[in-house]
Amino acid sequence: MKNSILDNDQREPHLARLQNLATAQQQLRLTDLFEQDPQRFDKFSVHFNQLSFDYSKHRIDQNACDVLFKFADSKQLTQWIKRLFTEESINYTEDRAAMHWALRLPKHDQDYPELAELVHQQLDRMYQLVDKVHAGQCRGSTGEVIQDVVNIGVGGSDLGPLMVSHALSDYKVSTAKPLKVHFVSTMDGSQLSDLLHQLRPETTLFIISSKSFGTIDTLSNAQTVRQWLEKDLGTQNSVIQHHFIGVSTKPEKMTEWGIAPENQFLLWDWVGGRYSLWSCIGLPIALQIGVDGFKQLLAGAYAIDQHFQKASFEQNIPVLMGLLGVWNNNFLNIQTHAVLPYDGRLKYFASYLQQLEMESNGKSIQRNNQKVDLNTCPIVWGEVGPNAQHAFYQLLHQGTHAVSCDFIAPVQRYNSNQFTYAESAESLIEQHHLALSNCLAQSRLLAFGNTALNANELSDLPVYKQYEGNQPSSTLLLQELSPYSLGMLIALYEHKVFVQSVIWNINPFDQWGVEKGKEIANQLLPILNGKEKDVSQLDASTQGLIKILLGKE
Amino acid sequence: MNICVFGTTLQAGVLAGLFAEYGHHVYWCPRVGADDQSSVHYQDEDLNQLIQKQIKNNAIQLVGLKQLQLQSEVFLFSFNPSEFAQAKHLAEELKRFPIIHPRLMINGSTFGLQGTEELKQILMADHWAYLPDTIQEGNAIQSFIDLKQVIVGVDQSETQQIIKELLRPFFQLKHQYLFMPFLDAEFTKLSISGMLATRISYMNDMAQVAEKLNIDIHNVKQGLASDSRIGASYLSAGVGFGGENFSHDILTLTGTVAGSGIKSQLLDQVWNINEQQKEILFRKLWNYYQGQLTGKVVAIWGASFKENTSSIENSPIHAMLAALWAQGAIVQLHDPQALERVANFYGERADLILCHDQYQAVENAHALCLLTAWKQYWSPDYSQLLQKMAHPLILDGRNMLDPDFVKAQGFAYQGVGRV
Repeated sequence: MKNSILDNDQREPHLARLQNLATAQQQLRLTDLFEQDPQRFDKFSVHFNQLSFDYSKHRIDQNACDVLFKFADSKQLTQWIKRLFTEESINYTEDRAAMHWALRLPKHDQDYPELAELVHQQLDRMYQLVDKVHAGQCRGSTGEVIQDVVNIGVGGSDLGPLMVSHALSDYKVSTAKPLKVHFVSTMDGSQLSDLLHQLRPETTLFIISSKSFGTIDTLSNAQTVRQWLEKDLGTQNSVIQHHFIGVSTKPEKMTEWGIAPENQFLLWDWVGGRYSLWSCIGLPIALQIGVDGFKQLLAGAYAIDQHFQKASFEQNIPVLMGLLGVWNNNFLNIQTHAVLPYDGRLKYFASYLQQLEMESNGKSIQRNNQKVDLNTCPIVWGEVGPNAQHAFYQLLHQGTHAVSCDFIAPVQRYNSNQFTYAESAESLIEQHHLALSNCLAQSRLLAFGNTALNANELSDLPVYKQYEGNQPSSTLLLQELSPYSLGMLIALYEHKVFVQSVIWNINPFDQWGVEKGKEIANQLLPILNGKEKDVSQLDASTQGLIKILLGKE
Repeated sequence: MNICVFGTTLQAGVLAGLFAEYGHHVYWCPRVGADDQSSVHYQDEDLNQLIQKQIKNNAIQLVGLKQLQLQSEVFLFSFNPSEFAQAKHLAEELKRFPIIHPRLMINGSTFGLQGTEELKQILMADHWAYLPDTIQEGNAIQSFIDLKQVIVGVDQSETQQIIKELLRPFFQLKHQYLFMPFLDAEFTKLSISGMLATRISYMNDMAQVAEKLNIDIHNVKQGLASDSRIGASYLSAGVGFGGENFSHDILTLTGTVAGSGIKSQLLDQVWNINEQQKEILFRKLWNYYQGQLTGKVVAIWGASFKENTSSIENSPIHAMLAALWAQGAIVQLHDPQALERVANFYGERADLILCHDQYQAVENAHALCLLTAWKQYWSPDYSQLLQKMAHPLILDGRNMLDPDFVKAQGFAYQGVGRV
């Protein structure tokens, strides 16, 4: 498949126009665009609620925007957005709806009263548990108060809660007794082996978080902690009953494992794993930031749901983000996209987005079962900006790859007198300003290259000290990083992904590419356990590696 | 001498009574700011008798601020730890009165470190002393008279002479006075409370181990007490210490230590063990019923933090109620004096039934928890208990009962650290 300039399809006049525009745009530099139009920032930025989205540093003009919107129209984006917010099974390969938006409906929603009731029934139960834990009244089998909660999950049941818990660490609520939340995901048990010896079984609660309750990574970790608990506390039912919470779509499997009915929290098939942090999968988040904080997170996402459905394309941030990505990826031939938060709390945001974007849109078959005719999801990567400046920014500035970037930063920080930082707030605010100035400096240098430097500095600059520039970027400013604004931020990216899936005509809600590996692993396990001897069916490489692993070589 | 005493503490009562008994004239103003003064009623009958007798003799006069004898030689500030603002207000008032300075000002209140110095800053011209409050409830008068040594914080040698004259009837020997700077004396006072609390938490910690190893903590306690280096007091395992002043001392001391930048884990541990201990009966109950407490009826005898008081400040009752309610249990509570305070504190609720008869409280109960060692709980009517309770389980938080005897009556019994 060709990358950007694809076969001209006469049925797609907008595609052809965009391709022509892009060819013209290749000649045009960001420096020129800003010189031509001093109002560029006002024209190419959107402000909504606590967010400001500046996309003026992209290589577009009004004309390109208009054609992109028409292109989106030709892909029936408006209709698809409407279809997303219904119970239609738009995840057609799994015959399921994709209703993660329903998870953040207000309790007494007028439009979807039954869905809202269903969702809030589980949320309310979760809130009760959270309050009980915070009050120091959730007890292990010996009656001691739970002080450590370990979330066992992988993928969507791990990354989302982990990312959000970390991002909102400043919003940790104070609890009757000290409470720590831990995350365990890897199937090799490395996190567990480091964690268990620091915990007391009497005061530890485990959340087994698995949509299918069949994920081997999670169940193997769960089995290990179960034995760890039973060794100390005994094998009676009350041990499992008081130390395990289950979150899944499969109550019967949770019951079979031994989880007491009152400790089972449900989600539904119409929630994708990577879209599930808004459900009871978010229990570790609620344990960290409290019930009110969690409600704020949901409210922020709900605000974006409304924005996404109601705002015109010109003002619609997820639509703009999606279309800009398509423009860069499919027309300007920029195949990787870096996410660069200038806030250390967003440490896991890039990994979270990798899953959200690449598992959703890393597809090559259209909804009509044909191969796609445009490139789909770019490589998404990133890191906390100030740290990445000492790592891969060199490549951004002087390498040979074209990269588009999202800069993300909070306007205010260290301003709410939280006990964790209050004592050093003044000097920490200084540090925040330092980070902000770096954020602005980097996006300037990426966009304008040499022209961002002083004229007199430029005159006798050797070539190896020069900057090409012209790397496009968006800047997203949040008033502050709070549960509400983070809810907005995550929902923005969820909908951005959806917008792109519509343009590419793919199903963003399945993940068949990660299923087969699990099956093959199941075939190999008996060989490594020594239960199966015959390896003749395997390729020579795998045979050779197995010999080493079994110590026969 | 003419002596003005301020405050309602046990120390105020004891010293007013004793000074009057030994020939001084006492002007007692218990409640600064109130116009009508009335005597304070203490739980200690000996003390009440002493005070009443001296009032009759006219050696104690209850007065308001306006009727103070301004010619008095000694002014004693004897307030509760929470009344620091009142004490400062009083000092300001005294400053305005036409008193001929210097006089002897004694601070007997526990206001943490620097409390005495702060008061002195208001009345700079006077002699100041700090007399730590070491009066023990239940044994108030004797606990003062029997002191082997009295600790006094002073910052001038002249003050020592006046103090010695004032306390001469009680302490006649030179070596009975232990003078030191204010700050040292204040820290000593807090350290005493800290040491006593440590003993209790230590015993509670040992009791948990004893239970696991099938050892009777009662034997261990007696053995420890027989060692003259250790002595017998503050060695009882149970549901923990409470009360306003004692707990306040520990927290002040912990705060002082933390504020000094020294990382002392001991006091935190002492406090945490005690907080844990307050709900130990709940945990025993939880274990007994395997965590199934929803809808169970639990009888509790005793709400006050110790016997002979109606105070529920820092009492284990709060931890017990919170824990039981969180599991959906219903509590039937008896206490001879504290029910009214409990009712005021928690208000009306369906899962709290206050009983004025201790046997009414056990009706249909799945367990009886003994929380305070009121005398009337020492010899329960077992046949009545058996007949009324839904399940014969007794959890004895003060180790008042004899385990073997109770079990022989047909009860399941658990004490703290008992086998």
